[in-house]
Amino acid sequence: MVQSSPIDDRTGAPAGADPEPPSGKRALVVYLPLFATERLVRIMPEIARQPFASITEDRGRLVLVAVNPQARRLSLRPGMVLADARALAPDLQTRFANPVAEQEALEKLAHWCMRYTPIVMPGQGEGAEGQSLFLDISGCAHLFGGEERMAQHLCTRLVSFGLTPHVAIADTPGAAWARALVSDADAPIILPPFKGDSVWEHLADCPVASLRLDGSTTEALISFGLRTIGALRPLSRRDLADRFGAGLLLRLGQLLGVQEEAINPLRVITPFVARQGFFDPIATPEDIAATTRQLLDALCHLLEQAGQGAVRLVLSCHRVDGTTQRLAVGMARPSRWPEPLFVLLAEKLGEIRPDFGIEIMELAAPDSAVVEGDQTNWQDPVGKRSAQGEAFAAFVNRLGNRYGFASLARQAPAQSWLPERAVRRLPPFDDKPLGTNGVATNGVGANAMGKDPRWPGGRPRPLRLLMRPEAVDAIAPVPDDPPVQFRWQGRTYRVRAADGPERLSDEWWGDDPDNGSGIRDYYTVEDEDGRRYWLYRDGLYKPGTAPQWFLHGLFG
Amino acid sequence: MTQRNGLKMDQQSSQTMAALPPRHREIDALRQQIGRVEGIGRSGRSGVLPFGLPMVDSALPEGGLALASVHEVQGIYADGAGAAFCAALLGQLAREAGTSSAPILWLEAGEGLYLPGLARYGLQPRQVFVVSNIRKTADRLWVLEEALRCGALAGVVAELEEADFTASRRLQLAAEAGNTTALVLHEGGQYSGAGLATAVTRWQVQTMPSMHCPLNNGLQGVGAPCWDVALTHSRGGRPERWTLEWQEEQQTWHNMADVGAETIPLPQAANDMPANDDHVSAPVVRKQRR
Repeated sequence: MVQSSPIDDRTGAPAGADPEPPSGKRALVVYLPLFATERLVRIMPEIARQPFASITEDRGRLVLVAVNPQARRLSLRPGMVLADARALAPDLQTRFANPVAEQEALEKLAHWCMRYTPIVMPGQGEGAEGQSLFLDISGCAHLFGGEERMAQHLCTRLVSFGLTPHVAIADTPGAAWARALVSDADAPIILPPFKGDSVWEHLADCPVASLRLDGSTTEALISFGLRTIGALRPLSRRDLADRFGAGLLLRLGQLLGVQEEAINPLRVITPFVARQGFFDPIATPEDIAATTRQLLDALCHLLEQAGQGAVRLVLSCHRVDGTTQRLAVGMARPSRWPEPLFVLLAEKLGEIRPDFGIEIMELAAPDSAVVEGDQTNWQDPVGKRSAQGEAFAAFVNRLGNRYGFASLARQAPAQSWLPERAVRRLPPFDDKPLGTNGVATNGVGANAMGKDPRWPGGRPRPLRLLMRPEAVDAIAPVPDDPPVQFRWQGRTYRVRAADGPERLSDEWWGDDPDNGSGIRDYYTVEDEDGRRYWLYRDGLYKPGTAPQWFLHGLFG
Repeated sequence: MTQRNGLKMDQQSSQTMAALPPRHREIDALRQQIGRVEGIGRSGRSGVLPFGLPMVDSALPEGGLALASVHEVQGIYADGAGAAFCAALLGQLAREAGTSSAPILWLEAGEGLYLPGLARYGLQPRQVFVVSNIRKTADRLWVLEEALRCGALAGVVAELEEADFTASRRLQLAAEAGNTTALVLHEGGQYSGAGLATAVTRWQVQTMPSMHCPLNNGLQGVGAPCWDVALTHSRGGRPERWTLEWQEEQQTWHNMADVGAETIPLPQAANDMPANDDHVSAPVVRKQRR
């Protein structure tokens, strides 16, 4: 009795005497036993009528992973060695299995299923060959005219995709899965809500394999003659737990609804979603734009109530042919003003291809953030300055969505003396408090503790910095005089005036071979025409070795 | 209606120009009328940015660089002189805008603008937003126009190679709509014709040897930046040419002729300068390989 049962029931009462499960929850399960091969048939329709199997390498041998019905009719089974399979079916077509692509395809299908309910979980029922989708349809079915019509709708669509769906609806995912496993393809089974022991009657003839147990437990049950779920009913739970482990009780509890089982949604549901369905699918750009505008107003209202602003907007258009087109726009800082957001979306609406029509449009703000402060202040209630800040933010957003937010940046000092590393790029709106103009206050010397480094004040810095310093031939008196003449890009410059040196060195840990010795003596030199250059000599003066000179910037 | 307004204004301005000979008076009145038709010189609303140098300001209509309009700066060589001149003008624009932190946009063709270098022109690096690596001219025109229209910027510098008449007209309208001043910068390379068609002023800039050089360890040090600035086109003004020096401490311009420095022999005729000059082979900063 060391093993503790997940169900707090030590009485040894028969497993059948279960309390009422929580009502109201309904789960729909789609079991796709042939998903692996049907996915490949969708890609390569020419193999549809031939025996076909996906294969994988297992300890140096090729074994079958999944087989299609034609191959199954020839007694091919998953796990079989390919050589044996070829003996049975010489014309067997094979492809290497791709579990990653399969999982992606299943997730895509799960996304498609979100038209029925937002809570969809793709998964593989344990001990089953196929793939499954778990849908929490609590409170959703009436939108489709009841559970039966919803299930039929889903089935028909899935069949049209070339899949073989086994669909069942029950109060618990476990019960629905058990029924789906033994149901006929394209014939949905709907169990009425559980009432007392009714669940046992509905599931009595289901095999124990439909309990989602691991293989050894299932085999053990069968070896005891317990072939159906109904056979477990008169047995005491204690005995079951002792003999077959706690996993069986857990699955049984989930089946009956006494053990909570959550359907984890594939996508985190955002609270900021606006959605519009259409009786007649829409296709014209005007309709799409008008609907987008309506959705945006609704969404901005939601955001405003929550005191949030959207950082990213995703517009999903579910088309009649079952495909979904998404377009996304990003914002440099959170916003909930419909006008500028609509401008952003409107620039991309042309990318939407309605094809045969759009039946559902959905606008979501998957990323949102608190809008700090308000855009008006008490001194200036009309908000001229703030309006300017908003206008600038709108400009930044449009620029960012066209050319990428990386194309616009500010520069801030960084913890390095090497000129090319002394600046770092700041996003247009960073986390620093922003002034009313939408511009952060001056960062020079903002933090005396050195967390925010300062600009090297009072030192000459060029207006244009060459990304990679260019080597020049310079003539300079040793040891550390500025050059009197240098040659760059095939032209000789005579130096008329010079300032320096300013010694800048790499960090002591730096050992980047591109940086040479890591010590540079910078000179500002002016040639006879008044052009001013920033030159440096790499390394310390060493007698006998010619110093290396580089040009690093232009002052203008 | 426009004409009646124009007549009324003409009468007002004719009083102030009483001292001028009659022919000049007529010409000036016509110039002002043309300026109004072209949308320039709406000084009542947008104002001007004076250089603070009588000789320069007198060559510009209304006594300064017209705000809320498009100006063109041509650097004769790709040595950064044009960019530096723009930076100096921008610094003054930012100060003119009232707050020292008014945002500035610099639209680069490639990348390589080094903001610490802007500090000497009175610009704080944090107020400068740099848009870089937008390669297509059409895309940069879009960015420039939207930046001008948004009305939140104290000034915009845009590196543009070319813009046809329609595009440049759009830029001028955007600058007026957003009340923002644009400097279109073009450095080095060949000038294909006149440049930006609707630019209110066009400047050609090249470096000059600096004056007043301090001594540095017995060697001559580098002085304040000094440029040969040619105003080659000025709508409602007159083309002229000066040698200007930027005073970093006072953040002001100095006209070398005013300062009384030794007169510098200016190169002959700004317009045909690259034609037979030994600077033709002057360096052009190569596109950076990354």
